[in-house]
Amino acid sequence: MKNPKVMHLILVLGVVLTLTFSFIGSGTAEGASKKVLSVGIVQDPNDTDPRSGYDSYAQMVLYHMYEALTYYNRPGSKEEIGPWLATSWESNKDKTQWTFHLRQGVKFHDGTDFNAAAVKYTIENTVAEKMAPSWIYSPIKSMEVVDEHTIKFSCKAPAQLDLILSSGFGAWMISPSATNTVKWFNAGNSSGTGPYKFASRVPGTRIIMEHHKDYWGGWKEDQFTSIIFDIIPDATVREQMLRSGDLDVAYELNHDSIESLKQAPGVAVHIEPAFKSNFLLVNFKKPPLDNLKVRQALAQSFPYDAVIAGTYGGLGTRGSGLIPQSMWGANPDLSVTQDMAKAKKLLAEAGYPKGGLTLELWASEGNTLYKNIGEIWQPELAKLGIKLDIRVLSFNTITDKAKTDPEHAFDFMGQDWYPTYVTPTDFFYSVFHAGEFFNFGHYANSKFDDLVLKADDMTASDRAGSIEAFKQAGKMLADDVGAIFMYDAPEIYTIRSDLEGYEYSPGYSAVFSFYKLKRKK
Amino acid sequence: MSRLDYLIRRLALAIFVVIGVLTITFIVSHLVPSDPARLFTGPRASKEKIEETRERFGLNKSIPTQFVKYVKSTIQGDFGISFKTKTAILTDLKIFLPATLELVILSLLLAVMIGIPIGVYSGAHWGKKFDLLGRVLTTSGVSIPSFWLALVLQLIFFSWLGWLPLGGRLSRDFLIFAPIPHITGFNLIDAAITGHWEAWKDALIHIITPAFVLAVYPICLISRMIRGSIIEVLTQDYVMAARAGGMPEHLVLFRFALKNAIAPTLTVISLVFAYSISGSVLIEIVFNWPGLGKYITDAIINADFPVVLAVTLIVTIIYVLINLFVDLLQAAIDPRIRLG
Repeated sequence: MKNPKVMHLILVLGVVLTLTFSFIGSGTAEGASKKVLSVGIVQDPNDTDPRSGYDSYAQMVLYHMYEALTYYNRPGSKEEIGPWLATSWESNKDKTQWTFHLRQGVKFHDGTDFNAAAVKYTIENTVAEKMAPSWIYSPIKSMEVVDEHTIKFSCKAPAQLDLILSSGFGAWMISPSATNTVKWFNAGNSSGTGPYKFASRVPGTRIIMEHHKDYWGGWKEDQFTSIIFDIIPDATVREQMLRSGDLDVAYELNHDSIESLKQAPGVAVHIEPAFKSNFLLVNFKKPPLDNLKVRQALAQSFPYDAVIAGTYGGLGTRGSGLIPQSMWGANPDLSVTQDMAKAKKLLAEAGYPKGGLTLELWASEGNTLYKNIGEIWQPELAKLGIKLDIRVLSFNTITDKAKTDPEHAFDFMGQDWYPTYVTPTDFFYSVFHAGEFFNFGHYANSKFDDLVLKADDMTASDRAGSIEAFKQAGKMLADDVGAIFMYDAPEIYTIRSDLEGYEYSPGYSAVFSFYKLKRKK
Repeated sequence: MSRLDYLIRRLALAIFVVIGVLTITFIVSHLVPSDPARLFTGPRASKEKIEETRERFGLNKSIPTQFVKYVKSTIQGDFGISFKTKTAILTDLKIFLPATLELVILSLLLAVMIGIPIGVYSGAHWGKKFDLLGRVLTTSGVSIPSFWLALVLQLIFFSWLGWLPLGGRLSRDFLIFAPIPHITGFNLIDAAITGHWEAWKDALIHIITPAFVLAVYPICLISRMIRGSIIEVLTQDYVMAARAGGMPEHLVLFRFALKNAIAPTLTVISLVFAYSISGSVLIEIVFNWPGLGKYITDAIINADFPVVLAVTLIVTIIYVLINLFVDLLQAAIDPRIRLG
C-alpha cells in the first residue's frame, strides 16, 4: 500500500461496508408458521404449579395444559355447569353426596391414565400441600373411588360441588405418577390432561407449549400444534406486533388503542364480560372514615363516569355494589351517581361543613390505574375542601401497614377482585369478612358476615334463596359504604382476524381456548 | 514488583471488592420492605403456607445468619432459587449471561471496526469536510439516548421497511422447529459450530440492531479518542521531521500516530465493555433481548433479591477482572507504565 489514496479508499469502504452490513439484514424473519400460535403476554406467570397458581397470569398458561372435572359455561348457556373431565354427575337431594362419572380414554401428559384415583390424589395432594386455592375443597369430608371411572364425594354440609370443581384455580387434575413439586412445575414441566404441554420455559422471556398427542379431544389437521408465549412488557410493542401479524394474540393492550384497533385491518377486538370488580377500599380504623356520613359523602363525590371514560377508555361498565353485574348474586339497585350537593350536605352533617380534611389514596407500584383514578377524583374533592394525597407504594408495604398499624395506613386503597370459582362468597368473604387477610379496610359487621355464610350455605340447596341473601348482603355492604364500588371491568381480547373458533367463558376470564382456534384458509 | 506478585495482590484486592459489593447489596436488599415468602407463595396464599415457606428458605432467621448461609452456598456455586420464577438461578444464568455477552461482544467488535477507521481518517484529515461531519456525528452519537435511537431504528427497519425483526434473539419458527443446540449459549457460535446456517442468518439479523445501538456510544468515544491522539502526534516536531525526511504519509500515520493512540484506546474499549454490560439493560428491554439486563430488571421490580444478588455478583466479578486485564495489557504495550 504505497499509495495513500488506496488506503483512504479502503478505510472509507470499510466504514461504508460495516454500516451497510449492520443496517440491511439479509431478508426478514419469516412470518409465524401456520401451525404456531404466537401470544404476547405482559409478564411471566408467577407460578405454573397447577395446585398453587393463583393469578390471571397463571391461569393464562395453566388453562391450556390442565383440565378440571367440570366447566363453567358462558352465562346464557343452557346449563351453568358443563362437562369437562367428568361427563356426568349426580347428587343426593340435600347435596351432601356427589357422584362424578369420569371421561374415559383420557391420558395425562406423562402417559398415565386419568381415573378416579387420580382425582382423589389431586385433591388430597393440593390440600396436604396447603396450596393457596385449596380452600375450595373445604366442604369435602371424604372421597371414595367407586370404580376406575367413578368417584364419590361426601360433603360436610350441602355444597354445590359441580360449581366448586369448575374453579379456575386449584381444580386442575394432575398425574399421580409425575414429580409434582413446585420447583418441577416451574422448571417447564406439566402433568395435566390438557391439549398442550410444556415444551420449554425461559423465565421472564418465553414459554413454549407443544400439543399433547394423546389428547382425548383428538387433533385435526388445521389446529395449532405449538403455542409460543412471548413475554413483552411494553404495551406499544405488543400492539405493533399484533398489527403487523407477528403476534396472533396480544394481551392487555392500552385501552386508548382499542378504538383504533377495531378499525385496524387484520385485527379483531372482543370485549367480553368478566367477573371482575374494581373498588377503593375504605379504612374503617382511621378517622374520619369510621364515620358513615363521611363515607357516604365521599361515595357521592366520586366521579364514576369520568373515571370509566378517563381510565378504562370508556370500556368499563357502571358497577352496582361489589358483585359484577354479569355474575349471579349481583344486586342491580346499588349503583351510586355523583351528586356534589348531596355530598356537601352529608359532609356538613358529619361535622365538616368546610371540609378541611386531608385523605390519602395508596396505589401499588407498577399499576398506574389507581393513581390515575385518584387524579380524576382530586378536583372533585377539592370542591368539598378535601385534599387527596396519592401515594405510590409497594403492595407489601401497603398491606403490612394496613395489618400492623391501620390507624396510620391508607384512607383509600385501590383493589380489584375476581372469583376463584364463580360464587359471590369469594368476593364478600375474602375481602370483607372480619379478620380475613384481604380485608385490608377492616370492615367488620357480624350481621353481614352471618348473612354471607347463610347465603353460601344455601347455594347448593336453594339457589333462589341464596341469590336473594347475597343481594341483601350486597345492599348491607353498600349501605355501610364498605368501599367505593367504581366499575365492572370487562376482559378485552385483541387477536388476528384470521383466527376462527374463538370461544370465551368469564369463569376463566384470563383465557380462551387455543385448542379450538384455527387459522382461516 | 514482578508481574506475578502484582497479579496476586490485585486478585486479593478483587476478593475484597466482591465481598464488599455482596455485603452492601445483601444488606440493602434485606432492608427494602418486602416479603419474599409472600412473593414465593403468591398473593392469595394462606398464612400457614407463608410460614412454611419462610421456614424453608430460612427467612425467619436473623440477617447475619442468612448472610453467612448465603455466602456459603454461593461459594459452592449455588445461587439459590428465584422467588419469582421458582427456578434455580444458575439454570437461568446459563441462558441469560451468554445472551448479554454475545450482544456486548458483537457491539464492541462493531465499535472497533467502525470507530477506529473513522478516528484515523478524521485525524489524518483534520479540519476537512469528513472530519467536520465526523465531529457532528460523534457528538450527536454520544448525546443521543440509546433507547430513543433503538425506538427510531425499530420504527424504520421494522415498521416501515420490514427488513429487520422488532426484537428477540431468534424467529419463532427456529425456536420451535429447528432450535439451535445450546453449546456455548452464543447463538452465532452455536449455529456456526453445528452448521445450522439458516438459524445463523436469523440470529444475525436479530442481533444486529441491538448490537449497533449498543455500539453507538463506544463508536463515538473510540473515534474521538483516536482522532485526538492522532492529531496530537501529527503536530509533533518529530513527525514534521519524519515528513521532511520523506517518510510516506501512511507510514507516519500508522507507525507514529496510530501506535500512540492504541494504548489509551484499549483502556477505553475495556471500560466500555463493562459499561456496555450495564448499558445493555435498556437495550435489552427495548429489544426484548433475553439477557442479564432484562433478568435483573424483572428481579428488581419484583423484589426478587436472590436474583439481584446473583447478577450483581457476576457483573462485579466481570468488572474487576476486566480492570485487572486492562492494567496488565497496558503494561505489556506501553513500557512507560510500571506495575505496582
